[in-house]
Amino acid sequence: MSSVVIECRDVVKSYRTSKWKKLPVLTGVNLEVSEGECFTLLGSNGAGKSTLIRLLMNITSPGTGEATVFGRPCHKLRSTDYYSIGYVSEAQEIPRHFTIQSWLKYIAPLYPSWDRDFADQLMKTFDLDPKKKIRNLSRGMRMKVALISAIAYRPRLLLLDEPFSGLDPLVRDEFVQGILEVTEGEGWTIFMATHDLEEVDRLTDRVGILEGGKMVLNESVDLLRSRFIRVHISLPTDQVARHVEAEFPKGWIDIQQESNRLFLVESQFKNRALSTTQIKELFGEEVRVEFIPVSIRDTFVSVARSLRTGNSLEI
Amino acid sequence: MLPFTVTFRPGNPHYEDIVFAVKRALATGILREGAPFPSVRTVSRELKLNPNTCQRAVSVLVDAGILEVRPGVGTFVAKRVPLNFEEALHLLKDPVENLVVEAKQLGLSEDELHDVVTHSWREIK
Repeated sequence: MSSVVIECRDVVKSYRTSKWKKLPVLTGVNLEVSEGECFTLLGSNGAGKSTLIRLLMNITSPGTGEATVFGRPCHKLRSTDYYSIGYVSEAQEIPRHFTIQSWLKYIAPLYPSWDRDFADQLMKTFDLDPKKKIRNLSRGMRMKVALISAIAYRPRLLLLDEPFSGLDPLVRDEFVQGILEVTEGEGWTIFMATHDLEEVDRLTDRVGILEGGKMVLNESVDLLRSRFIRVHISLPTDQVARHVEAEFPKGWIDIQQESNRLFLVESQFKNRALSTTQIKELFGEEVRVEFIPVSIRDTFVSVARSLRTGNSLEI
Repeated sequence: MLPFTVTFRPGNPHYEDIVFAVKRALATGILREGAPFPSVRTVSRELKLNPNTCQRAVSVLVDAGILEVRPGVGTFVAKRVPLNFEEALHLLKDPVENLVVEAKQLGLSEDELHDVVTHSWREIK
C-alpha cells in the first residue's frame, strides 16, 4: 500500500464574521489522499474548497479535527516540509517589479532541491521570455510563472487552487503539461480544487465533492464514470404525473419532467438491460428508454443540482 | 505521435478506451506484431493523461498477452494471442448487449441489425 499524504478527520472550520457571529465553512471533512494519486476537489462557489487547501498549507489557522500532510499536523508544518510541497493559487501574487529570471533566482535558494535546468526547460515549454517583468505579463503568463515557482524543486505534493480560472485553452493545455511534469518524479501526489472539469478529467484518479462543508462524494473516477448515466424515458401517455417522486428508485437524481417525458440521472447504473427492466416494471412495456453516457462534469452538475433542491440524496 | 488513436467516450474508464484503441490498431493493421510500443511516459504526455491510467492500460494489455515488456529494452507488441471462443464471448458480452438494446430502442429488426454488423465487419479488414 502506498502511504497516505493528506489526511483529514472531522475537520471543522469557521470564520468569525463579527464579535458574536461565526460563519461555518467546513463542518466535518473526512478525506484521505494517497501517494501517487491525483485528487480533484469539486464543489460550488463557497463550498469551502479554498479554505480546505489553505488549511492544509497552514495559511489559515486550524479549526478543530485533525488535518495532516505527510503525517504532520498542518499547523505544525515546518519550513523543511515546504521543500516538498508546491502550491499554486489563482489569487497568487508575485512582486511585480521582478523579471521572471530575477524572481526565480530570488526564490531558488529557498529550496535545496531547486532544479535550475528543469526551471529553464519549463520556461521554454511555456514559451516565457525570462527578461520580461512580472508587471508586463498577462494573467496566463503569470500563472505559468507561479507554476514554475511551485514545481521547479520537484515537490512530492502539489496543491492547486483553481489553477485554470481565467486561462485561455492554449495556456490550459500547457498548464496540464506542466502538472504532468510533476508526475515524472518519484512519489508524487496532486491535490487540486477546480471548476474546470474538462481539463482535469484526464488527470484525475479520484474525485471528491465538497458541499455544505462536507464531502458528499469521494470515489475513483472510473467508478464514477460507470455508475452515473443519463436516462431519458418517453411514455406513451402522461403517465409520469401519476408517479410521485417517492415511488422513483432511490438511485435516481436530478429528475426533471416534461409532459410525458422524464429526464434523470441514474446514480447506481449497472447495465442497460437491468435498468430497462426496472423502468418497464415501473411504467409498463410501452416506454422508450434512451441511455446517454455523462461526463464527470455533467455528473457533478447533476449531483450539485440535486443537493441544492434539497432532495434526499442517495449517492 | 502515437501509433493508435484514442477516442475518449463519456462514461467509459479512460484506460479501457486506450486498451480498445490499441486492439483496434492491431485489428486494422496499423500496429504490427513486434513493433515497439511507446512508454507509459510518452502515452501520458501525448494524451495529456494521468500516468496511472496509462500504466493501467499497459498492464491490461500485457496481461492479455498483447504487449510484452522486455526489461531494459522496452515494450513491444507481442505476437497476437488469439483468444479462445469463450474469452472472446466474455469480452463481447457487454458491447453486444448494449448494441442489441440500442437497436431495439431504435426499432431495428434482428435482420437489420445483422446487416449493420455485417457492414461493419467488412469495413474493418
